[in-house]
Amino acid sequence: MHGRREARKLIEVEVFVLQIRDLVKCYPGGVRALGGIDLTVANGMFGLLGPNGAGKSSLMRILAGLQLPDQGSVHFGGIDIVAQPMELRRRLGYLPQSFGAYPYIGCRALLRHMAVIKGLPDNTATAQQVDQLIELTNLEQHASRPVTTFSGGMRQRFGIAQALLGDPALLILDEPTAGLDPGERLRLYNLLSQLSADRVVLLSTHIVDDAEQLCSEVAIIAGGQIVARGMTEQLVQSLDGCIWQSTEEASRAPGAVLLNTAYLRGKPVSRYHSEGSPGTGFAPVPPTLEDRYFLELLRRGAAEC
Amino acid sequence: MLIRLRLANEWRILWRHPLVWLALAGVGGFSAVLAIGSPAPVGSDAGEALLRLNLFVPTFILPFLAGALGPVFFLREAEHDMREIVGSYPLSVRDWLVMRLGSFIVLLLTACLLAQIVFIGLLAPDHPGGLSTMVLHSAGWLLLLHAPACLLWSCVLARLSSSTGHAGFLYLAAGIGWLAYMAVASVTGTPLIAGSMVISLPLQQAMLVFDPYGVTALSSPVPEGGILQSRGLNIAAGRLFWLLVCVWLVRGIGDLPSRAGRKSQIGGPATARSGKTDSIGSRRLPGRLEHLRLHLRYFRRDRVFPLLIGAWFLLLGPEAYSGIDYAEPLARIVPGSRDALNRVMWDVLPMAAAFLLLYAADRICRMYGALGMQELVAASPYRSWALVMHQVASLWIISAVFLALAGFAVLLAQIAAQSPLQPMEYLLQLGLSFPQMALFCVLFTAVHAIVRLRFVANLLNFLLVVLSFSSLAPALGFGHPLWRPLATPLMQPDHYWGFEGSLAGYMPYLLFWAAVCLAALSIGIFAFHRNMAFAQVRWRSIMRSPLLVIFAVLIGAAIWQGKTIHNNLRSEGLLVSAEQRAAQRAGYERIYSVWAQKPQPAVAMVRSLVDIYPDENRVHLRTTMQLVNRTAQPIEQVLIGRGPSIGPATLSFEGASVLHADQALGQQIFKLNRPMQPGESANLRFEIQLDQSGFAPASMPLVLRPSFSSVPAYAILPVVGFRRELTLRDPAARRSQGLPELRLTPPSRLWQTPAAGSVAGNEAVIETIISTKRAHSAIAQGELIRKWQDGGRDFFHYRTSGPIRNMAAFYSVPWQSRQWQVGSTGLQVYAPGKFGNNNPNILGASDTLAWLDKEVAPYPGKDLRMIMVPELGISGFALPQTILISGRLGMRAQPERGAGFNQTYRRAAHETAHQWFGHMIGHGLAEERGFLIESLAKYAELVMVEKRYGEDAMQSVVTFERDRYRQSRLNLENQVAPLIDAEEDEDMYSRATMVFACLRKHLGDEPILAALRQIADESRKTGRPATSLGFIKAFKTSSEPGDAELIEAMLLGTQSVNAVFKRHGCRPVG
Repeated sequence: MHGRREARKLIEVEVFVLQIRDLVKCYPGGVRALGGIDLTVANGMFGLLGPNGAGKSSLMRILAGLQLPDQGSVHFGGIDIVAQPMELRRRLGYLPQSFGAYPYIGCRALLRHMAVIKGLPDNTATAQQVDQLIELTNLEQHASRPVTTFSGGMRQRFGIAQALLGDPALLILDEPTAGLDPGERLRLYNLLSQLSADRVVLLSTHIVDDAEQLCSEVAIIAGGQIVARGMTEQLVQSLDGCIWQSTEEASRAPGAVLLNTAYLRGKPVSRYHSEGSPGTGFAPVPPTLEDRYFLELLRRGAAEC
Repeated sequence: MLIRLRLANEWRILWRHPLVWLALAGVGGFSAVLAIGSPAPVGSDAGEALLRLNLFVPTFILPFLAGALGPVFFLREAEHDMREIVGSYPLSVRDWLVMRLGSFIVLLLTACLLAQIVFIGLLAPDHPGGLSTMVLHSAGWLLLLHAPACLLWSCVLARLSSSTGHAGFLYLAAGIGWLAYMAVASVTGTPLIAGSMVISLPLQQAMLVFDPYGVTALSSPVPEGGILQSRGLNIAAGRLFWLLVCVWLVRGIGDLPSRAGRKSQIGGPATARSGKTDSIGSRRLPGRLEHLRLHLRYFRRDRVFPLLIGAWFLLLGPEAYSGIDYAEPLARIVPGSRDALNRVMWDVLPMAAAFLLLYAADRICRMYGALGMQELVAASPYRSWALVMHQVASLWIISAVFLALAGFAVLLAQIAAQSPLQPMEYLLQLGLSFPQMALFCVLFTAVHAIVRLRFVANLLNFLLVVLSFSSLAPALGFGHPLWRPLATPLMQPDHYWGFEGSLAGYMPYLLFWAAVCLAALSIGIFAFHRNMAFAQVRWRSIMRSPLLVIFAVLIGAAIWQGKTIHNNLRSEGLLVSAEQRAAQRAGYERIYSVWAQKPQPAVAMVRSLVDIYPDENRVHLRTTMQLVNRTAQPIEQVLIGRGPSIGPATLSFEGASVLHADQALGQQIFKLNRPMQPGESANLRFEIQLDQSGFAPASMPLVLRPSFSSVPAYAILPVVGFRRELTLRDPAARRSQGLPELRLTPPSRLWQTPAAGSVAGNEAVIETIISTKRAHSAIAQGELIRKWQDGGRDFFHYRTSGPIRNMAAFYSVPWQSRQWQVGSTGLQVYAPGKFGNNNPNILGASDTLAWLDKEVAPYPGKDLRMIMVPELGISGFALPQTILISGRLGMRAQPERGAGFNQTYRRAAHETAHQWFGHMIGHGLAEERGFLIESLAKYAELVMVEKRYGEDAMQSVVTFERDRYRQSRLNLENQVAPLIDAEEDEDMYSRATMVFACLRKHLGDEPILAALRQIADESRKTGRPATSLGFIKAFKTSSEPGDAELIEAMLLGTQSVNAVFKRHGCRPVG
């Protein structure tokens, strides 16, 4: 029995690939949120990086079937999610950027309610699944408390739990670590790492550390377009030998591209991109995903100060 | 199975929601109030009583229930920021409908079932043995009446939620739905609204089928020429139509409300929030006066705002236009601005404005919370008072704008109706309406500032509105006017005296409420939570706050002002509740009913000195009553009573001392120094001064105002012996007061004239010297013997030429009389304006006076006076030798086109006829209440209208009364009480008109007049009261022997009205 289920999962993992083609979304007033996105996402954790207003949330909501694109197609495992949103929703777990909860109802009861809305039978198995999710998200101590009384981190974990109801094949997480303290964030990292083993997890964030730590593959989105995508390591490694650090002023490094400047113990530390050494005072440093992120944004001309 | 699973899952959430329980409790409570407060007519069977109550369920309960709970069911995700989560779930429209629509219908039906249980529980004691019938009928009404209404409301709200995704639209839909139905119902003769008449027959016929609740078809018989001729078909067609509408509504639901706007911009929290922020400006901190601007822009850009504007116009404009020239059924006036504004300014507008401000207060006071800016603003250096005052100022501006729009809507109605404009009237009425709205703004803001939970604050504000505009407080035993928040005695201006009837009390109440509201606001400013979820101050720190001083001063002012109001109301006896009055009457009956069997003297003469001071709202009354022992036994003790709630007075009885004084019930037992022998007399002296502070709106009978004063001495003077008219007759009231069941013999069983009755015992010679201010006319009963001036006042001396019914009343009006001579009687009219010989009041009174004087009995006096009175709730009222007629109906109203007869003439004839039917015969027996008084006056109407205007006009009167009867009876096939026993208005007036029309058709007038002559003559000669049975006996004697069956069937029969009329060849009712 167990083996058959695993086998089916393997087949599903193979089949359920998210394919996004030429996705366009414009809002009233001429705001072009998505300008022709093409993306293919397979099993594992995929990070969608971008600054505020880049179009991440629009893309997430379209993928979650909450919003219709103006143009383009999205398929998940053969399901056209524009034409068959209900089919997608049966396989979807979605954690929005912010959400509330019904008052007066405890966490466990609310999860059971939502499980039934999600199409699960109201039986012992569902009750067990709810309990497992509560355990998984470390909410056992608070299972009877109304979600409206939860702290930010607990509420995010509740959000993860509801997203996991029904064991979805596609998990879309929109800024899941926003507002979490380091401890909560770490717990969430661990949880998401476990979850990404057998499903497609799409993680939208503007926190580069999140993507670097969690995602095997990332795409950088800016101005509604994918400006870079690839395996996280490859994206970082492609900058090997091109990242330089200096405590000097940027004007003294002609030819080098200033990626960012941060104050370290009161002294400015600048990171530059340059194919060769910009000159004296510059030391080569190992590249990070953040360097790649800023580089792409600078190239796109969309970086925000 | 799946449906059950979905529904059960819904209830997992819903049963925890306090609003659900609150709503169900509210339905139970309101149903109980209905069942107790709207008793079915006497003689109704259990089924009819239950149906009457059930008609209120879809019309008065479901719209409010649906509106209040709609968002909880259909927009839960939006309300609690879960739209994106639930929107991403595999929930189809069908599933959603099963869950939400299904559970909503279940809840509404549960509420209806609860109402049934309450109805049955409270009706069962009055209908022993009717339990099974009621249970059966309940099931029927649930299925036929309530289930379709529940379905309709559910579908409407589901569709609206899906297309708008905003709770405001649901509230608005419920409010507009209810008001629109009430507006239509008010002109289609529904039995649910007091005074509703069929003003538009086509509309009424359309409602027979298209009434969304089926109430019209159930409560009105199908008129001839209706769209469908059968009640069953009407109901079935209507149900089918609305079922199809429901199907259409449900089929139009494209997606879940949580996915509303999928095609364009998602209404997700973040986006919505930023969208709203964009719409009112950026998320920067507003400048000092910018709060005001932001509040107003926020409200203006609220999605509901355009709908509010539209609804406001739709509510007020058509309401003003539809009845702008309405005086009464079949009569119209030439309207001015005062009439147009009166249509809406004093009932529709205040309540609608309160609900509007309730919504606006929620939007304004919770704006920063809704925008997610509460922390930003809470952390800002703005003082709480500044924030709160900006909210108040915003609401004041909104009030002013909507008040101006109301004026504009009425103006448009006036222009459409080509009614002459009076700009000052707009300024006056709108100006006087604004303070109440402004104080509502202050109170709502204060509640929002004090109460952190938005839901609770709105609930409290809602309760304030309900307390203010409903009879909930009196029903709960809080009858004091100050329990009605922000209520003032101000009432609509009258055409004659403007606001004189109520303006005096307006400012004192306004000052009281201003102090209360500002005190609440000062606490609100102190405790303002600044839209945060936790308190911003410690309550004990109020001791150091200057706001405490302001609060104390304001509360002190409120208490002082409230005490002034209270003392004035109490001293005028205006604080006695209906329950207290019933308890007093019950106590009176319990203690003093033994006096009904004791011989007591009768009042033979009433001599009064009356000084009316209209400008000071005062009257001084000194009366000497001559008591005569008309019994055959000596009298040792005399019971003298007067209303305990009328102010202090002095009372002395010549040759007697007080044996017992009962202050609570206003009774005194006098022991005579020596027994009063038969034929002996003694004087009773009484003196009282009454002041009317004006803290309550003027209402008949006691009115003391500069332009009109009415002193009902019959309600003020002491009464000798036990007063049978104070006996509680309502069975439920008797039960609740612990009195035994009243077994009054109905007139049809009075086979012999009982000894208890006496005409002479009710009659006295009345002599009055009455003074008033210069240029006023003082009026009393009797002939004017002398008129003189003294000390800057006018004096009038009146005396009746013989005994008349002892109901003395005095008036002071600013008009001089004009006289018409009708035979030996002078008809004197006191009214403003021109009064020609052809005035229908003059014609109606003089025709009737001449006819009854000649045909029945001579008029017992030399003068009959007719006085035009302001709009004080009476259309016409007859006292001995005096008739009061509403100025609006008597002076201004004209028959509408196609009316067929003149209502003014008809009313004048009716009231004049009471000089015979009521004041000459019909007042001697407690059991004779309707037929000899009202029904015979209706007969006189018929004859007079026919004589003056012809048979067609008379038939129009019959048709009018037939329609009234049809609207008031739910089932025309039921058995009825004999006409001479009936006490319901529709019997005494409408059925009597039809019966006499039928009798006249078959027998003519002569046998009826002969019978009337005979009973009047016998009564005069014997001193015994006339009886209905005596009339029937005389009627049969004066008719052919073969007509006896017709007379008995009409006046004594209990068969249904339709059956009797059909059998005797008269037009059935319907």
